[in-house]
Formats: sequence, structure tokens, C-alpha cells
Amino acid sequence: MKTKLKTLFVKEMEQEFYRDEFEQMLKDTTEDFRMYPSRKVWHSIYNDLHPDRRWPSFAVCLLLLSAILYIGVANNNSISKRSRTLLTAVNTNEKTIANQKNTNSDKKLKNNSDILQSNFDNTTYSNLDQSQKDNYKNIATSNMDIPVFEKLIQNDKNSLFTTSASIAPHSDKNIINKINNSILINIIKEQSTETAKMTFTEETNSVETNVIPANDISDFNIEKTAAESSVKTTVLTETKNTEKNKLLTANTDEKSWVEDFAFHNVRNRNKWKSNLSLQYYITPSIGYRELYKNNDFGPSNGLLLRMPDNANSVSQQAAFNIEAGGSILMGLTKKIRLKSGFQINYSNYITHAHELQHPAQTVVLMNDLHNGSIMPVSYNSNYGNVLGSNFSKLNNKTLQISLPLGADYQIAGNEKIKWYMGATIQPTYILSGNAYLISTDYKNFVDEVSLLRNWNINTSFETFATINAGAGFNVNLGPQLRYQLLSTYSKAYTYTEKLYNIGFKLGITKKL
Amino acid sequence: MTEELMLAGSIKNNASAQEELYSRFSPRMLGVCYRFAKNREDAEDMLQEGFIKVFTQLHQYRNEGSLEGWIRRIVVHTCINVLKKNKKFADSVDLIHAKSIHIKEDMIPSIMQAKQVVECIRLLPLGYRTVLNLYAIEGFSHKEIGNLLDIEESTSRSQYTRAKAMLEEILIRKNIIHKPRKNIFGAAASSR
Repeated sequence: MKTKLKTLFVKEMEQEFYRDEFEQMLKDTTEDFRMYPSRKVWHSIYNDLHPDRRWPSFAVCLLLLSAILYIGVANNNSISKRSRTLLTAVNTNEKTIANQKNTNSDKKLKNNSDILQSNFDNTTYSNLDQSQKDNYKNIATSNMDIPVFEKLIQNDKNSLFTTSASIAPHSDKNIINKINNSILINIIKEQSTETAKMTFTEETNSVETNVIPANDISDFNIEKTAAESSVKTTVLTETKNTEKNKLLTANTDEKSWVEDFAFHNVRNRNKWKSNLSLQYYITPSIGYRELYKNNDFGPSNGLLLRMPDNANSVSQQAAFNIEAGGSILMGLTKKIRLKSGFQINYSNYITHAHELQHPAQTVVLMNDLHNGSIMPVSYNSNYGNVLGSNFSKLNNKTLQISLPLGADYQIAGNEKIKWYMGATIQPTYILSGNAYLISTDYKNFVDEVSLLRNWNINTSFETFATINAGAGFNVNLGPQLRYQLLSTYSKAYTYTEKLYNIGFKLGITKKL
Repeated sequence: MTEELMLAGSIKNNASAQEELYSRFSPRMLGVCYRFAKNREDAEDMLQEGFIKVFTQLHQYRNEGSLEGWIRRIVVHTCINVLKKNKKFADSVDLIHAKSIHIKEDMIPSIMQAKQVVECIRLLPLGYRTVLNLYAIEGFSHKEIGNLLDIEESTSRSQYTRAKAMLEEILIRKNIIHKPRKNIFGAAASSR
């Protein structure tokens, strides 16, 4: 132990002895150097140390929020859908009753419809709070339906049976249950008036037999006799008719308001849908580029003073490009519509070069984005920028996907043909590509794909005619200019390259 | 929170104690990482990895020497391990020669004090920078550096000599130091 300590001591003394002023200055100066890490470093450490109590990332929060929103919207839709279903069913039933009242004088039939009404009329509509009443107003279409609706919405399928039984304690529970079941079956299946009519046929037995499909409710005894049923429906009729009439009178004023509301509600839904169109398009084009000095290189850098400011000394030619995609269009006003979709782009241009017999060493100056210094990076090049015997065409091509977001404005037009102008901004991801970079001295081309920027932003301007082709289809034709807002290459590269395309867009639009 | 409480809490995996320890030492340790790293993002990655090791090995700390020194040692080793994973690093330690690098005046950033010196160090090629950081600032011997970087001790010495000469040139040009110190550097470097 002593020997070990001694060795350590000697080593330390030795180090101190030979540490000259320079090292001491470096050590003293850098000792004071501190940097403050971003918060995410601690979060990552925390997550690593406490995997059971992970720090929720932004992405997780976003996902959670989206899920909550989705559930909210989905529930809202399902409630509306259910209400509409109920509305349809009850309307159907009532129409059937009305028709039968007009055309059929048979007392049995009247009794049956009264059974139905009296069951629902007996609900405690007046005891409900205001918000529940408002809800019913939104979905009901007739005065007579309001209490019926209260019953259907307030109670689930099972509880509905119970309520019916308690309303008519002296009646045959089986009959009432089966009537209610028949309504519910109609509601769920959204059966047509024809089906509903079957519920209230003149023969009393059919109240039980026709409304309940045997395959749906197998445990129902549908073999009731006519006599038994008739006796029980009469009892119900006597007890419920008076209350029903009172409610009908009291709600007369509300009837028109409710009907109007439902009517407008339906119209709004159709209007929303009619604003949407789906568009597919393809745009063949000619692609070119502009090349100039990267402004991120500091102007004080003497090294770059010699750099050419333009790409005149590079021989290049345009090449065929194409883009294709689909968009959803949404009419915002009569003349303006928003659009968004998905697009695939193939961009390309050709650089003229000559192939070298032996690879040559060349240098590309790179910008160190973190400390602002410039690094010369050596490359082996197989292509020279002086045209010679081994002429080559270098394809600088990229495959991209983008999400165009934009708007169209209708300049003029009639029902047959319309003239639009439009613009989009397109966040773009580069899937793959080639990159032949010109060296800093303009003498060679360097194949360096890693300098391709992964994300870019493009913009497009277009004007086009829309021709009505009938059956909800429109054909779109017009020129388009697409321009790349950021350089093709990373900021580290000496030069900035912007691509642009001039093409002709062909599209087809279908109203949804 | 006292250092003892912070230590005890961190060993027991108490999140608030760990955060306290992290907050206390992370700024200086990030400064260490930044001298080794290519950029700030890499430095933060090194810091993260280093602190995870610190927390998982904290129970091995025996109060011999300062806690900061112990943490610093782990962080420096983490930085070296991260650098060694990069293939270019091995090449840069052995192959770069001082004469092939020409430092232009404009390449030296004009920033002040400690950061100015650190940024000048970061202008050095990766191999030079690593050896200089380990020897001059972290106090490793050439033998230790040789073991750490899997290079010969003599390579470490020569790399350090060149690194020092280059850094000296940069610092003189930026008027951070004023006197040429070639004789002293040579003597100091060769004597170890």
C-alpha cells in the first residue's frame, strides 16, 4: 500500500514538475469553461435511469392529445349518428300510425298505436333539465315524437323494457316488452316504412309476430293468441290517452322550431360535403438549376474571394422531370379553394463533363457550421470540368416526396370552363439521388451524395383552365413553375444550388 | 443540499438528488466534452452517456479525491470511447502531420476568454486535439494516452508536440499569448 501511494506521489510530482506554463495556462483557462446543456439531455438521462417513470416526450404528449381529440370527435359523431337513427325509426313508426289511422278504422289497430304512444307519453318530460330538453329539440322532428325520443334516448334498450313495464303495471308485460323491442329493432336496423307498418297491422297478433324477426330475437314467444293480446291492449289504451293529448297540445309551438332546426342541420351536412373535391394530376416538366456562391461562407474569408460567383463555367443542360400526385380541394368561398395532398417528384438536370483517365485529387471547401471555420476536404474525382475526348453527361437526379399546401383562385369562368391561378408550398423529403458537386476551384466534379439535404421546401405557381366534363368530373390543364427555396446541398457546401422546373399540369377533379 | 445527501440520494436512485448532482456538474463536464467533440450535439451525447455511467457507478465512489475529479475522469473516458467508435478518429491520430495543415488567419474565431481558447483548441485536427486535451488539460501521461487510444507512447508524444506547436501558432496570431515558446515546449514535451 505504501509503495503504491509512493508511486502515485512520485508520478504526480513528476507531472507537476514537467508541466510548463503553457499547459498550466491551458488548464487554468479551460477550467473556467462551462457550457449549459439543453434540457433534453437531462430528460434522456432521467428516462434511462428511471424507465418506469419515463419523462413524456413532446411526441408522446402530441400523440396523447391527438388520441383524446379523436375520441372526442368520434364520440360526437356516433352520438349524432345514433340520434339520426332514432329519429328515422320513430318517424317511420309515426308515419305508419298516421297512415293507418287515416285508412283503417279498425279499433284493434288504434289500440296498438295507442299502446305505443301511451308508453312514451307517460315519460316525465317535464321533469327533465333544460339541457336534456334542448338535446331532444335538436333531434326531434315532430311534436308527437318528443316524448318518444325522451324515452329512447334516456333509456338504453334494456332499461326501456323496464320503464314500459312500470308504466303499465296492470298490463301484460310481455306484450309491452315486445312492442318496445319491435321499435328498437326497427331503430337499429333503420328499416323502411314497410317494415314499420308490419308493427301495426290490423291483426293484433302481428304486433308480436311481424315486428320481431325470428333470427334476431329467438327467445321471444311469438305464438301469442289474438284474443289474449286484444284484452291487454285495451287496458293500456284507457289509461294513457288523456295524458298523450295534453302533451300534444302543450308542444304545438315547439313543433315548427324543431322541424326547422332538423331541416337546416341536414342541409349543412350536405353543404360541407359538396365543398370537397378530389384531384389527381401529373406534370411533365423541364428541370434546370441555378448555382451561386453559398452566402453562409463568411465574406471575410479570403479563401473564398477567388471563388467564382456564378456557374457560367459549368456546362449543363435541362432534363426531363415529372411530378404526380393527388389533392383534396376544399371550397373556402365561391372563388377561393384550399388544397392539400401528396406528391412524388422526379427532378433531374445534366452536367457536361469529361471522364478522367486517372482519378485526380481535388478539394471542396466545407463550412464548419458550428464554429464558422472552413475545412478543406479532399476528394478523388473521376470527372473534369473541361470538355475533352471522353465526353460524359452527369445526371444530377433526385426522387422526392412532398406535401403540397396551397390555394386556387378563380379568375374568371362560367359553368362550362373556369380559369384559375394557384400556388402551393411543398415541404419535401428527398428519398434518394445523385450529386455531382463542382469542386471549389471549378476544375472537377465530386460524387458526394451525403451532402444532399434531406428536407427541402419547394413552391409552385400555376394557372390552369378547368373544363367541365360532366358527371361531376373536371379536366384541368395549364402551365406550372416549380421552384426550390433551399439549396439542394447542405449549408456546409461552398455553393448553393436551386432547382426549378417549368412544366404543363394535367389533372382530373371529381366532386365528392 | 449537501454533497453527502446528494450522493446518498443519487445512489438510492432518488431523482431529485440525481438532478441536483447533474445540475451542479453538467456545465463544466459539457465544457470538457465540447473540447473533444466535433460539435455541440456530439458533446451533449457524450455528456449524456457519461452521466448515465456516473449514476450507475456512483456506488463505487469512495470519497478518495474530489467528486468532480471522479466524474470528470468518467466523462473523459466516455468521450474517448465515443471517439474511438469513429473510424476516422483512429486515422486522424496516426496520420495527420502538422506541416500539412495551414491555419489561415480568418479561420480563427474571434471570441473571448475561456471559450476563445477552447475554440482555438477545437480548430486542431481531431487526433491532435484529443492528445492535447488528455495531456495538457486532463493530466494524463503519454503512457496512459497510449493505452487509452491504442497508440504507441511515442506517437502520443509526437502528436502532442505537433499539436502544441499548432495551437501556439493560433494563440499567438490571436494575441492570446505573446511570446514564442518553442524551446520550452520542446523541452517539456521530450522530457516525458
